[in-house]
Amino acid sequence: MLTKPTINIAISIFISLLFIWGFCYFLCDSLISYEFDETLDKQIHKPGLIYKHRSEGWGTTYIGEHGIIGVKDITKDPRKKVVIWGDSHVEAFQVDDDKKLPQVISSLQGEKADNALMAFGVGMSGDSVADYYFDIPKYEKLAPPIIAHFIIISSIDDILPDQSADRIRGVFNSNPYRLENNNWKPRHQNIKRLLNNLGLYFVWDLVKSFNSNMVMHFKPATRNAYSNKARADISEGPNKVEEAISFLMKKLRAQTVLPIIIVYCPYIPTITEGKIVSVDQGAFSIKLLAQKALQNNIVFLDMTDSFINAFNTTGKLPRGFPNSWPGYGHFNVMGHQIIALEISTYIQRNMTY
Amino acid sequence: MLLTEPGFIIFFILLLSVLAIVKSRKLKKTIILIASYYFYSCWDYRFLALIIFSTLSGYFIGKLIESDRTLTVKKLLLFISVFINLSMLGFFRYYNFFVSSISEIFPATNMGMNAINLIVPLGVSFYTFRLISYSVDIYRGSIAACRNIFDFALYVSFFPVIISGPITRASNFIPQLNSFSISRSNLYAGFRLFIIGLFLKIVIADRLTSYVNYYFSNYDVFSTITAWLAVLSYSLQIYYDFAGYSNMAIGLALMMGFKIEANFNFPYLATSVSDFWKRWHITLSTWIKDYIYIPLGGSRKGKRRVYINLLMTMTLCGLWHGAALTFILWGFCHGLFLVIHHAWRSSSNNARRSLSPSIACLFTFIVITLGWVLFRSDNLFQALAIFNNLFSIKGGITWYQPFVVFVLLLSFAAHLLYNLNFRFFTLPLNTKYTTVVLFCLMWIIIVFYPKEFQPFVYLQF
Repeated sequence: MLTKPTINIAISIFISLLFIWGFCYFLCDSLISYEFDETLDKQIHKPGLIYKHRSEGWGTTYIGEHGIIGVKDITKDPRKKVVIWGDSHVEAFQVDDDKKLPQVISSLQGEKADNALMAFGVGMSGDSVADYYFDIPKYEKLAPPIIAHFIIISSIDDILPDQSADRIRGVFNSNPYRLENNNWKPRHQNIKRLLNNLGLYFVWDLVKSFNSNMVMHFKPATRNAYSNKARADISEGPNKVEEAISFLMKKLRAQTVLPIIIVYCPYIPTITEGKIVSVDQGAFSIKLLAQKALQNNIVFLDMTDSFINAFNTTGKLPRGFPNSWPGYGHFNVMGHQIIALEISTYIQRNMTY
Repeated sequence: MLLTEPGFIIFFILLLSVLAIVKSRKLKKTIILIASYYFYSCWDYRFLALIIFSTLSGYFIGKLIESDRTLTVKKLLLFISVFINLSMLGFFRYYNFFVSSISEIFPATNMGMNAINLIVPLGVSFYTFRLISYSVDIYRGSIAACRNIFDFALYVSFFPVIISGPITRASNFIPQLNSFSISRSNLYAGFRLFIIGLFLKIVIADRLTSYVNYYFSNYDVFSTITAWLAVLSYSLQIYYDFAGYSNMAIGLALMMGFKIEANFNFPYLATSVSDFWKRWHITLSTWIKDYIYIPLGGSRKGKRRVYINLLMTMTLCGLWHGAALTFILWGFCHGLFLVIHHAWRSSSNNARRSLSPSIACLFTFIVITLGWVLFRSDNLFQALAIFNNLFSIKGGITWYQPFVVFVLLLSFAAHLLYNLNFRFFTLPLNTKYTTVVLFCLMWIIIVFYPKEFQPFVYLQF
């Protein structure tokens, strides 16, 4: 027979489980799940999913058919389109759908050109230019008519070879330079889908907590007074960078006849060591990228001045959220607006459709 | 191994299970002593030698003080004991500060002393204070010397309190070694304290830390409103961090059957700085009162002497917290506040015209909070710049982190309720909802369990 304390504990556990369920339902990130799309021949965000992001920013994202964010079914939209390629910056879970870059461009274009053009984003956290290289023909076939490709990059690392990523699909390798498509398969999708459907995000958080990279120290140890090891010099020589960029630009250009526009969105202005920093540390390499892009008939749009001007005018930074750090992380609503305006202006000035 | 790490929790569950099985109290004490040494060796086993040396010296000097009948010899032995402990503390914690201060003040002087790479032994400030109080108490005749060296070793190295206190007194701890036992009520009460402490540390303090650290690293770009938010947040961060740690330590000890002295009692409800020190880090403030302030003469030798004693005591308290000018100045300021309060109170007119408790509480909180700016700043220049940000209308980025605002409001509400005698949120032991809330807190802790652990603020002291 159960004792009174046992019953009390059981009731407490039950009530607390209800509490944490409700708590996480409103305040924690929901679970993102993937499924394989036959048409695109790749893993996509599961269509129909409504994803809530709470850990950075506060956004709700609807995943449409073929994993397109914020668009119900891209194949049924007859308008001319531009594709916005990018990683988590285009995925933009941190802001609501109508504030995301492609949607803002569509809205701006709608205002200016009688709804004749729409933009949609193809972006998943961890994607790289190698992914866009493989995916460009697939999306041109999926959602015609596409009139241009805009590729959002944030640093030179986005286009250099041998970068590490959590989810390796498209990979740009060196020695020799080559683009490879790995078949990335996400794990535990059935469990995640089930938990997501039930709103039991916290269960996944619990599993993650127990299964994370927490190192448990059980051995007696020693301490060091100083641990300032010299950082290994991993920078490559300018020739290597130039070679790599040339290779990638050529490959990208060969993949489509449509205009390709690289939109460079640097991590500035930002806050570093107590100062607002508006000098881009990667400016030299980016200049090289702009040159090589131009040589390959790829347009290069630099957002540096727009970001600085916006900060000087509004006093606000394009990245960061109240619940993260100002100036760091992903684009906030203002960041999306600035880029959308720049792209929109470019389209108005340079494209006829 | 930090008290918040999963490794520690596994270690403690295993230890508790063994203690529950073992019947003999002697064996239990041996197991706890071995566990304490093991716990310390997970940080750095080389410093066990220092603890063992301190233990042996403390034990034998204590016995000698008790057995010797001449006052002069007793005094000499006490001096040796205090000297050994303060030398250790001074060498590890203040040598580099002393050397760098000398070379800054007298750049031309070359005394042949250079700063050296030193690791400060974990908890050295706390266990040396425990050892000093032990010797002084024997000298004063308020306790008897410990008869069993293993009991004494356990008093010195008891793992829940070794790294950051509370600074337990031998008079409280050592007698319990003959009566402690694991009971269901102690387990539950200890578990309650541990979960509350873990929640305060991991869910509240660590999240405030990221806001506070970002502000203090980049104070120049933020507006006055953000400066106030960050400074208020630091007041709460240091409180929840240290009170969280103290609760965990007391809870762990209680689960094993030991009752450790409380360290906090709603310090931000204090109506004066003097009241604040009766509620904040209570075991340190009583230690300082008993072993520094009173021996200096306390309040027995006239007003002027009282003021000097207060200033000296609090400046030393600041120095104990850290070898930096900011800490010394912080301590001195607290001394000054105490002097002002003492002078105010001793004036008969003012005693009658005392402030209303709410205004006094608010005023004290602001004074304490401003003091924390000195405490948290890396140097005086930074502290002055932040004071300037606080008291000038400065533009810049305004950053309201929702969590920070929420914690500030919630803390205000909690203090208000406590003051109005609504204490349900302190989770009293004998209520049905306490278990439910404890489980809720436990789930939140697990969901927000960090991958990287923020050290306790007081771990550095």
